[in-house]
Amino acid sequence: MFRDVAVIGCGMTRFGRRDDKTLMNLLIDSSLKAIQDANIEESDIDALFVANMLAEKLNHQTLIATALADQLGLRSASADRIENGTASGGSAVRNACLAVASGAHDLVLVTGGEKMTHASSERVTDIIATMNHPAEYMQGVTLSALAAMFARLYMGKYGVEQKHMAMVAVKNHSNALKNPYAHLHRRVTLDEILYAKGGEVKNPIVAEPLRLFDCCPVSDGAASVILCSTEKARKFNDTPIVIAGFGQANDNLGVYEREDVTILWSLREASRQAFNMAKLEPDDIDVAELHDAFTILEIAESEDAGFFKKGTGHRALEEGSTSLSGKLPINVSGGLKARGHPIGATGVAQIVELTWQLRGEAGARQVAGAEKAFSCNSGGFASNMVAFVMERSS
Amino acid sequence: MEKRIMGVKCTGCGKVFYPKRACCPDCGGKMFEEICLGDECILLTFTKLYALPEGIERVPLVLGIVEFANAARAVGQITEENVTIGMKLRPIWGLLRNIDGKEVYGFKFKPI
Repeated sequence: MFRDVAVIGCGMTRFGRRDDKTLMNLLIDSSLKAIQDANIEESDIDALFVANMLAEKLNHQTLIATALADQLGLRSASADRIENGTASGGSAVRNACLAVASGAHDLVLVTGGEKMTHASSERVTDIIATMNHPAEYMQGVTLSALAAMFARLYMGKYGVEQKHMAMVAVKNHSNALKNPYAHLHRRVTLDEILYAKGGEVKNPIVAEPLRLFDCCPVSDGAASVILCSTEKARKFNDTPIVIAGFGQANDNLGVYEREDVTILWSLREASRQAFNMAKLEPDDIDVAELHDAFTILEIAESEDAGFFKKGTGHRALEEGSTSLSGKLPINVSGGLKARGHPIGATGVAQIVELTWQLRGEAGARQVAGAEKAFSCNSGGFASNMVAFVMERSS
Repeated sequence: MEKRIMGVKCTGCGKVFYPKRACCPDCGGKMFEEICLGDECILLTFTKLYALPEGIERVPLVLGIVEFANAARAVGQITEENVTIGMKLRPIWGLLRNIDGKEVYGFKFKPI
């Protein structure tokens, strides 16, 4: 990279069902929070990237980067929308990094958002399934179906059980209770999820062997970050949060075509690139935000990102290593599972959470002394993967 | 005559794919010959889907990944609910779903 890149501002809306806001309202709200957080003027921004997957399908709007630029008065800034499926947020942040690193732009705003809860679940399920290989889509294969077939193989090969997947849900729900921006604020126990003990928790089958609590919700929300060169960032902050490395890679679009379906090759490659650029190792990481659209994915990603040996992620989870007080806390925000998954916002929200963690501003869910962080944002079923390594500069 | 499930074989390295693709991911070859995948395949993994997309009404929708003797894989609907990993299936042509109000046909898989 030519110039090091730092995060100088971030903001988020509350995730959840947001009947009170339009998509554009959500994008404006998180953008203004990030601008205020960075203590800059709108006119300082010279590039805008908007991450969004579904606006033309669900919100009757295209050219939304320009629509947001218009609201914010960004006349001289470039404005582009990034649609990269469920990795739109990560892709937009990566493109913003390149814009700053190259020297082409100085202050870049990235805003990701989605408004989708008003649409029927059959419609949302179908549109999201268009990310899949056409040979999968035409058969009715949805993201949940892919995760289910993946989970069945994982359980057979590595001894992962239903209870391990439920443990991810319990952990991430518990973390989300400490996150005021999270979609789901509800404590759940292993007994409630696994055995329906305790009465009120309903956990129907979505796609065998996955149940409702193995899947992230459909959410509305937006998240924003402002990036600039690390050199310039020092004018705003003595200890800027640096994006030390990033990576991106693709796997076979058709999950069925992957030689070993249980290996997330795109993540192995994207994280290798990110750690190489950052000159760091997985062992250096203090806190991670992974793409837990399904609970089994958090387990698999904790392995393929390099934190645990393949096939042992569920053991680390069971031992509490990935809990808030563990050796490597994962998804302290609540993750996609409980913070929610407004698609375009997700990859940006991961960077927001990690910035707060590295600044020491994460409140009740703060990981003590966190200095180095990792995130990954998956497009489709790990077909496209964007990974980041972040660091608090000294 | 009954429709047969067709894939392509890379003339460079011999790897078989379903469906056709532009470049062979193994050797980079761009020349392929059309071949039949076979009349029998084995079930590698499956799910019964209850959260259906628009355009499909069969609950649960049974879906699986299958492998043919030439190592080519495919994914598709399975006609029965009583399925186990490793069982033998055969591809049959039929109605899969509706997309934009139009019926879409393709290969699904029936236990032998």
